Amino acid sequence: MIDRENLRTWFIRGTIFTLGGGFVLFSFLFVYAYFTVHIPDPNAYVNSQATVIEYADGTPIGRIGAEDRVSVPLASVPLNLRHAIMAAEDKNFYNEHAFSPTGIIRALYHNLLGGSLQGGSTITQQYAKTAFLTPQRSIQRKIKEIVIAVKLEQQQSKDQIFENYLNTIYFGRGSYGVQTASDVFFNRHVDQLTISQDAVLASVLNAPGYYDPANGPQYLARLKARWQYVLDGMVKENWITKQQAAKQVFPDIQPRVASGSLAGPKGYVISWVENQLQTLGFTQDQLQQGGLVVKTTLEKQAQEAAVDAVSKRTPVDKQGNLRVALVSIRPGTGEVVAMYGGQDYLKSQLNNATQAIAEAGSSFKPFALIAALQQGISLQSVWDGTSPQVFFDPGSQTPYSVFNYGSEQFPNVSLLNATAHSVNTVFVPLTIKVGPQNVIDVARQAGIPQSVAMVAGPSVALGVASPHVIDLATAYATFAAQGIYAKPYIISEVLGNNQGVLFQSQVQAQKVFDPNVMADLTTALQGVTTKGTAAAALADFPRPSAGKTGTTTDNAAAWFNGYTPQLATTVALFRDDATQTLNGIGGLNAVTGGSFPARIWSLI
Amino acid sequence: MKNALKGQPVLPFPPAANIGGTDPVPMQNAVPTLDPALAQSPTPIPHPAPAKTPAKKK
Repeated sequence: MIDRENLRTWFIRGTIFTLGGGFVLFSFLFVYAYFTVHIPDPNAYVNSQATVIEYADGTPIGRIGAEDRVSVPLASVPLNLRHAIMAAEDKNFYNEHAFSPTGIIRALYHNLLGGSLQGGSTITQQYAKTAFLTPQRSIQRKIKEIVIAVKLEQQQSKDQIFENYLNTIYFGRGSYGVQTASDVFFNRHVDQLTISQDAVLASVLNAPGYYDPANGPQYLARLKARWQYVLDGMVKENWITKQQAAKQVFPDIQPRVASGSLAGPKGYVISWVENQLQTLGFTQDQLQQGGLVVKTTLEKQAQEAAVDAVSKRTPVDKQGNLRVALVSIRPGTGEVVAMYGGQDYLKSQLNNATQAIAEAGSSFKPFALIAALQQGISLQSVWDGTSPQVFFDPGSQTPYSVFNYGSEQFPNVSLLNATAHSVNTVFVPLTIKVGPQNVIDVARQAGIPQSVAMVAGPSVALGVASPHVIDLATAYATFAAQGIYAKPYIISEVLGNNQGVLFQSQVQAQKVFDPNVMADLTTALQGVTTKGTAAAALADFPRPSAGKTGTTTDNAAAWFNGYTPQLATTVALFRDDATQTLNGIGGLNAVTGGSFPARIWSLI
Repeated sequence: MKNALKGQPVLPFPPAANIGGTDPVPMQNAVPTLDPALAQSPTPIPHPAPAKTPAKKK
């Protein structure tokens, strides 16, 4: 009996000692944490916003940044929405302290047992967790959350905390903050929301994916139940009347866009803009949280026309590795007005317009023509365009054989018509005559960068080099500008989140060709679009146009480079594997630059 | 470029400058040619060996 009595005494003492010791230890840890846990500047986080990318007219294109968020002042958030969120998350927010002891004890209990972390966090705690901590679930993080919540309540008013919370909390569908959520769910500004819509936003907060009706009927049912719970809560707190609640009808919710911000063709634009911003010296932090506004040179009408033209006029490809690229550049300034880098950036991150390369084919012939005109060779000069022919290459001291496409024969053809019909057996001797290095020099001056390797041989005008699509668009823009080369660019201005100008572009242009040479070049290239290799595709094009087709060996790549006085555009089709032909796609036995590329060019 | 240029004026290109004149200038023999049969030979051509043939271009 004594032993049993002693045992009981020791058990009681041990329990008291353990609980007391635990309390002392917890208190010590809390005090220690209070003085050691650092709160990052809350304003810096709350004010951090995605970088917004805009068309030249100010219309948004997309965003750079981990979070899609637009901050609004508390005054812009309707009182009913504030009440709905409080009814859903923390009814006593304005009357309580930073944390709820009962909620914490429940959460700790479940966590110690290895169960899921329970709710019960106050709005202040939720804000502390969202803004400053990782999603990791641990006791350590919970203590930090409490400490930060306590500190926040000492530093900020309830309204400030609530405003920050409303601007940072996640509502699902990639939207952070009430304003972005209003856009995503209801396509309207937050101050235009109805009570019914307020209750929906307040409902999804609890577990966004769990309540998103886009996931299925059962999710919609859950959301409706939660929505009613929120309305009832608002009635209970006398924030709305029973009659008001009874009148509410569950609202229509926007369909979820099943894609990220980089999905589709615009992902290539956003990615390239981001790349260019980094080249200009902007840091990742600035891009992700700086709230920058990036004005681009892209014109909405042209960009939408480009995507539409590619969509409508690109043939179905059974192989599935067809790449289509398009770049439009304003002559004389280098502004990139439209760009199509691919169908979906989420599927392939290689930008067909600025990163992929393909053999240029006869897109390079104008460079030989310019070199010839510079040496006084007339468009009326008459050449032997029969096929095949073998020339002696003075550079390599070897014979060089050349064929025309389809072995077409052009005996005694003028240089004008040889350009229109892309006669290889004229442009090879022309290149030898003017000097292959001169042809390369012209290509460089027009805009083909040093990174594109070119060999000074008779084949240079036949386009065995592999440029980017933007390189050829730049070169043809030089032609359209009557010999003014302009470095291509897409960012015209960068504004900070205080609307201060952080960067402003300057046109980098220089005269590289004589206007008379350009006038004759354009005359020859007009022959391509009116009677030559692109005439069929451009028969109904209602403006004066000039251009050049390019089709490579075995039809592995097909180009059309063309311009009007106001705009130069290059379109190219090619495959991932440069050895595979395009022939057969869209039912065409021979896919040339005058087929799909020229048709796309015409429509854009 | 119909849609990209929608609403913009139709502008003409500058007239030809006619560099080198408007009369035909024979250039058929501007550079020396070799026997075309060499291009059709399926077997390697004896010295000097031919350079790689760029086939169809348009």
